[in-house]
Amino acid sequence: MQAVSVSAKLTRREAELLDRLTREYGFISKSEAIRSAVRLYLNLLELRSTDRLRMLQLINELIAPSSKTSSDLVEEGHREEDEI
Amino acid sequence: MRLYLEPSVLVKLFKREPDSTKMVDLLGAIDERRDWYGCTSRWSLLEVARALKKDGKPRELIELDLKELKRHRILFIEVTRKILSDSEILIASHDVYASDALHVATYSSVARAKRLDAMLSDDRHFKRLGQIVNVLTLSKVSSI
Repeated sequence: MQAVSVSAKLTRREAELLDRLTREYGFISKSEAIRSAVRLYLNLLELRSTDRLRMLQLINELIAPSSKTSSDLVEEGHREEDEI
Repeated sequence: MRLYLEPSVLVKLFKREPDSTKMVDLLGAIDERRDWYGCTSRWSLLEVARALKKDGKPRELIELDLKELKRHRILFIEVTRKILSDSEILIASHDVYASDALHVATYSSVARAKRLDAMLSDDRHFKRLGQIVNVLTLSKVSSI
């Protein structure tokens, strides 16, 4: 298998998180952890459109759960614009 | 069905709430079926971004959500001078927010050419805009 190297800059916080998660999940190296993350991300983006949207809905709710409805959020935005 | 997608239904794509699954199925139909069509204003991207920010979503997730939105077969209509000037007239004659006026003006500008059936919106916007344009809520959309 032909391999291509790609470099990426991370913030200090991301680098620390990568260090910690590489240890916690037992990856053999940070490169291996990044490869695994990239594969997972690319697999998500390759899903069929409705499956991808359902996954993204779940990710949105898990990362930042909220009880506000879409209607409330858009309405709040409108009120902000009106106050300007 | 040929629809103008108002931002309140687009935000549903990134939340789990009543009718959000139906909205995903509807976008799937727009992507895959020739008898379905969806468009919105380019301005909607800003409203969706602001709603997600207010919902506490981190920057990376908002960027991913917007990229996802742009990846589908939705036509994003440019905000033209004509649309802005029609919006001004709507604000002067109806009790609507600037963004609502912009969506009504955008819808009206393409409704005939794109053979739109309705503007798809939530209940709250339905009450406000239903008197000006033909508005439909997700619960009223027949089987997808």
